Amino acid sequence: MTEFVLETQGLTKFYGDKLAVDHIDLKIPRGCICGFVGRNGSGKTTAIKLLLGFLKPTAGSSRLLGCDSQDLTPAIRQRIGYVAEGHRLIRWMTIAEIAKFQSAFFHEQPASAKQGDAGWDSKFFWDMIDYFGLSKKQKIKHLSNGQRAQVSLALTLAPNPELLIMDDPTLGLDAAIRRQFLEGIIELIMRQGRTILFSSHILGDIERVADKIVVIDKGVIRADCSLEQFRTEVKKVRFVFNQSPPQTIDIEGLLGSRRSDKELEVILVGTADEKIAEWAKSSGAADYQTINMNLEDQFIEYTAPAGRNKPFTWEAK
Amino acid sequence: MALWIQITPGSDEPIYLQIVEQVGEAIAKGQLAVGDKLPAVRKLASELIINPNTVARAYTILEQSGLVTTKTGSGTFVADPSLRGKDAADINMLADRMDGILSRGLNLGLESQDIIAMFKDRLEKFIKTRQGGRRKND
Amino acid sequence: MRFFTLLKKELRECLPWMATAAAILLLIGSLNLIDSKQRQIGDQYRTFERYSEVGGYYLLTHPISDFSILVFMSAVGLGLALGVRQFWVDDFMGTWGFIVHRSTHRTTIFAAKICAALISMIVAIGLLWCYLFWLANSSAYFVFPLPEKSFIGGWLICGMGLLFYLGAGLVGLSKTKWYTTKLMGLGFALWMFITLSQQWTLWWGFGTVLIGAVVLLFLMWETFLNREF
Repeated sequence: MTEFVLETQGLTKFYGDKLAVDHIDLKIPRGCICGFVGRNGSGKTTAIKLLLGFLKPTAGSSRLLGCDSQDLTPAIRQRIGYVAEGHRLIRWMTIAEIAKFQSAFFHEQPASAKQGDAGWDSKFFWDMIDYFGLSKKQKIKHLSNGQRAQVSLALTLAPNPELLIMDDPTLGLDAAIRRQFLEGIIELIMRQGRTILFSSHILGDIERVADKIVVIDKGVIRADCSLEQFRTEVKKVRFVFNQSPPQTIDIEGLLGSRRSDKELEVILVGTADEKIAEWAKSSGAADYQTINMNLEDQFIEYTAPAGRNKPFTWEAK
Repeated sequence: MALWIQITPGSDEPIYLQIVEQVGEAIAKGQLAVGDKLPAVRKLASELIINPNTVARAYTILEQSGLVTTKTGSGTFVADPSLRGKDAADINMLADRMDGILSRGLNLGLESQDIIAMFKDRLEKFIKTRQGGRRKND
Repeated sequence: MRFFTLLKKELRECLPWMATAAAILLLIGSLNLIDSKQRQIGDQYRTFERYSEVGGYYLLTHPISDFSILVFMSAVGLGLALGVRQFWVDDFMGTWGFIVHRSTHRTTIFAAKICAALISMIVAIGLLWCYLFWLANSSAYFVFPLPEKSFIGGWLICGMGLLFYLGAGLVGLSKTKWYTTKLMGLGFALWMFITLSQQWTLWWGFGTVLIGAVVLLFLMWETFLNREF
């Protein structure tokens, strides 16, 4: 039985002659919460659509729950929850009607079911709707974006999916609703064995929720490791010189650099402290200091043009 | 025992380190006494709206530095201070932190003796709070 | 069970269009019939008797040809509306993701749409045509009864509407950039219509509709199965 709930091999997609997704190799084990980050147009949505079989790859393949994305059987689709960008639902239906529609595609949970068992959990759905302050007679078309996102989340979580794929689920939502959304996701994480892939460019959300981070830029995966590793290994080091800093920076793991009169600031990935000290000595730096970065800065450096010219994929050991 | 942990995503410090810091500070100030139980991983994760693994990681680090011990099935408890080791790496990290404070102080134009006096003052206050906390828990 | 859930949803979406087409047909059809009686066009009717063999074609040259045109336009109008509603709207609204990611085969989703459209056309145009035909032949409203063959002709027109539905659906489903290829579906339906209007017997008429429908249906199904969203 395959350990990876989601895997891709050389997944590639061309739109005409525009390369949207470039040979992506991903492996996501069961129980992993993977944050998929990238700038606008980096290929996140294309990759997700390929995974779900909404697009055909130009090359390569992908599998969800052991089944090829292009041939997902109804039984497999039942175990996968999907939240599309924009949370588009059937506008003319009321919340009660769309719940009835959605629930018809899952078997009903027996009364003896424990929380977290597969199947449509009607109580969970209506508890969430209550919590969000919505009522069953409201029509989808009269809901605000935030409320529609809430309904979309409830519809997707109520069947207790094994694998949840979300494409920018908190985009455009106000802070209060985003908070509730994250609470819902955390609630799902607490139920053992759930795997989540969610793309976002709200790094604060990723930082709260993800175990693993995958950075995609211009269709290429730039980083694929645990969030903790990413946070601790992408660092900024400031070297102070008594003269003008050296032109060549041959330090291991260099992502980018900035220089001024007497200072050199470098962004390094995975460079051991000893190597940093070594280079400081060999380059004649008067002093150096490692500076912590926040996730947003780390992400920006990772996808900055300088970084892009030297594609740097870093995988967890 | 009141343990208020607040995390800030988007900060320079990873979330798990923020938790480690705050628990560490609570222990140092005596807000958490030896034998006190830390919040359950899932409960804290739920409250802070973060991944439970992040809380677990923080607790593991606290355990590695000897501040807490985990008893499977019961939870995580503040450990006996006499059992804590002084890791060379931890002491180096402490020295680095001090550098940060010292540079700020010097840039503000404070004299060395002023900075030392400030340190002494804060340390005394800390110890007083800790002793006060201990007395409350006795 | 899942098919019926989908069918219910599709029918509910067809309903406003069905109701509109039926209302127009009923209202204007009835008025037209009453008006024809009042204008005493029975004499004109006698000169066309010799075309009685021609079935569907007969209907189009019938003295109340504006009535048959009304039926035709309702059928085609409803067909186009349903084709657009079922296969174009989801593109604009971005809802295909929600519809297609479901624990059913794409064919089931497709079948539900087709069945819903068929039912809608039969009820709104077909059954209504039956009613109007009966109305025309009850002496209270119309002096001369419509010949039996024109009854079948009315259903043929319903079939024509179906072809336009399928054509519009195929246009909505096809994702080519080139407009000429994209509009092929409607072009084909139009070609079938022209062919139909040149048929001289009912059987050929139905044959045309059937072949056209099968071809379009197959193309639509293939396109839907392979479509990228």
